[in-house]
Amino acid sequence: MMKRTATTRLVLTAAAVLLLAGCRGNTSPEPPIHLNPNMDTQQKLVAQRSSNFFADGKDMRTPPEGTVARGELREDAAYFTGKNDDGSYAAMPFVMEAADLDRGAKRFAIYCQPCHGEHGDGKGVIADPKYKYPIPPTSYHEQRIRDMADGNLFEVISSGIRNMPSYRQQIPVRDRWCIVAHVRELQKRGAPAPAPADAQTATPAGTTTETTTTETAQ
Amino acid sequence: MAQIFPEWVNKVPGRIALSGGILVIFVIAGIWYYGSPEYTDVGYQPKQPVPYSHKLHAGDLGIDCRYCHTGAEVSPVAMVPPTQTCMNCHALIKTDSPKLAPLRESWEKGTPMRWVRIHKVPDYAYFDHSAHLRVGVGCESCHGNIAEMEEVEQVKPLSMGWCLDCHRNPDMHLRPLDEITTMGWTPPAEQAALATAIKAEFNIKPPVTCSGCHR
Ligand code: HEC
Ligand code: HEC
Ligand code: HEC
Ligand code: HEC
Ligand code: HEC
Ligand code: HEC
Repeated sequence: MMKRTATTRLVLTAAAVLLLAGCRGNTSPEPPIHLNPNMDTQQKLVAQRSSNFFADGKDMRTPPEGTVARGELREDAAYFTGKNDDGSYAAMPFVMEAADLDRGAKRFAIYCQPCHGEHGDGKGVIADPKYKYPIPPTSYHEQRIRDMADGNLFEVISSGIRNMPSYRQQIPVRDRWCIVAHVRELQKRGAPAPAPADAQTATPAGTTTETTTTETAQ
Repeated sequence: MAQIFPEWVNKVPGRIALSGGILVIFVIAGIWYYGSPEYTDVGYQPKQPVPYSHKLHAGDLGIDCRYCHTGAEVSPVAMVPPTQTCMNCHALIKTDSPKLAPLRESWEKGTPMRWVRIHKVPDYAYFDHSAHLRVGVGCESCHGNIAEMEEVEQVKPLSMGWCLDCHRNPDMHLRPLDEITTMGWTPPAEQAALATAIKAEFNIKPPVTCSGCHR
């Protein structure tokens, strides 16, 4: 009798261990339990966490009206707003090195390509009819956009225009100028030739293949 | 003289020692196994207020991680995007989807979206995204293939041992800077040479002393 219960217990324990062991790495919506949570979460201000120090739960205070933080004076209007002091649109405020152009191309791929497409022809993924994006993103190859001053393009990125959102928060000032330079670069390359209907029917908008670039590069 | 204790008592001390020993082994094994972040943290996949899918946005649409996680390359925190970033598109796409209702409410009222935090190192340890991304450690090394996930889940333990494993030998995790956000990247055959080149270029020295992370 004694012996039987002992073996049964052993078998049951082993089974339970194996069962629970199977849970390692399983997904769970429950927050993790830590054996010793002593200083995991401290009473300090941490980015992206609410704090109970101020009533509104934010830890950063909004600066009072009319104050300027150090380094935020932004005196150089042409550089920061794309407009000269007399209100006309500025030209490129600094000399574009090869590294800046490269930076512009990469930042363009992150922030503009989803809508305007790799070649700036307005055929990004979002423009695919199946997503029902109501306004086609403008093609940079339109004469009107070609005629725009650099500062005007800069302002479009900074403040958005009509249905295009502002990218002020997402893209730092210098990168915006680099993107402007890349838009100019795309315009120089010209719009890709419309893909031959038979060869490209299966390719959805926005995924124009590399071959089209080489064919049309001038 | 009559025996005070029956005969079986002779075995008791041995049994106690044996079962005590087994118990101690079980407790240690149990804590080692169930107390480790591999068990407690890996697989955490909370329910989010909006059923946002990385598979759709980062995978199918191919939006770069940095479109939304703008802080990753330049600051310690990668930053979960503000409502504005979603509204860049959703002001015009799926404007009447019930799934997006909390997002629109947050947009109209100006209140922040309350996304549930998944990855977290304890506040006594210091982690910095930019230090890793600037030298070519890809998101994938630490977060897994996010572009395949409908809902984000934690796939790495984020334990001290895990950090140190990589800090002692980061070679397999270094990629060219253009590939840091690529998902499903496979190291090329000459990864060792590539890693040596990257290490020389950025003079990489991951901290393994306590004060590197507990500062
Ligand atoms: C969310 C999609 C989206 C993204 C991302 C986007 N745009 Fe646009 N863009 C649009 C739409 C839509 C229009 C047309 C707006 C209209 O006519 O109402 C537009 C128009 C423009 C125009 C023409 C402005 C004019 O005066 O007609 C320029 C230039 C432009 N975008 C540049 C950019 C640049 C540079 C970026 C990257 C920083 C970018 N866009 C990112 C959607 C987008
Ligand atoms: C369209 C915007 C968007 C894009 C693009 C995007 N994310 Fe996210 N990401 C979010 C949002 C919103 C959350 C918070 C909700 C959630 O956890 O699902 C998030 C959460 C995360 C988290 C978990 C954060 C936590 O709480 O621990 C990780 C890790 C992450 N993203 C990585 C990535 C990676 C890697 C990519 C590129 C493959 C990427 N994201 C692309 C919007 C985006
Ligand atoms: C670059 C544009 C873009 C951005 C930015 C974007 N989305 Fe989307 N989102 C889409 C597209 C396109 C779809 C698919 C619509 C469809 O299936 O017709 C979609 C679909 C969705 C859906 C599914 C809606 C439904 O009813 O099926 C949710 C939820 C969603 N997005 C949440 C978000 C959140 C949260 C953010 C901000 C972190 C975000 N999106 C940012 C383009 C975007
Ligand atoms: C070296 C490992 C590592 C790499 C590489 C990495 N992460 Fe993280 N990530 C972490 C850790 C650790 C945390 C938890 C940080 C904390 O609690 O402070 C985290 C947290 C996050 C969060 C949520 C909290 C926050 O910091 O905003 C997001 C979003 C995120 N990562 C996105 C990304 C994206 C996008 C990339 C690639 C561009 C990336 N991570 C690359 C390790 C990494
Ligand atoms: C996949 C590899 C990998 C993982 C995982 C990883 N690191 Fe690192 N980490 C690196 C590399 C490579 C460097 C070297 C950067 C340099 O020398 O410029 C580094 C540097 C650092 C630094 C130094 C930053 C500075 O400013 O000097 C800290 C702090 C750090 N890591 C913390 C952590 C913590 C905490 C974790 C775990 C949550 C972690 N790392 C996980 C690869 C990794
Ligand atoms: C690469 C970064 C890194 C280095 C170097 C490092 N730690 Fe840690 N340490 C961490 C992280 C991350 C955690 C949190 C682990 C977790 O959440 O499981 C941690 C946790 C700990 C804990 C656990 C605290 C608790 O309450 O559970 C102790 C103790 C500790 N570290 C001591 C040390 C000592 C001593 C050294 C030097 C020999 C050291 N650490 C070096 C990253 C580091």
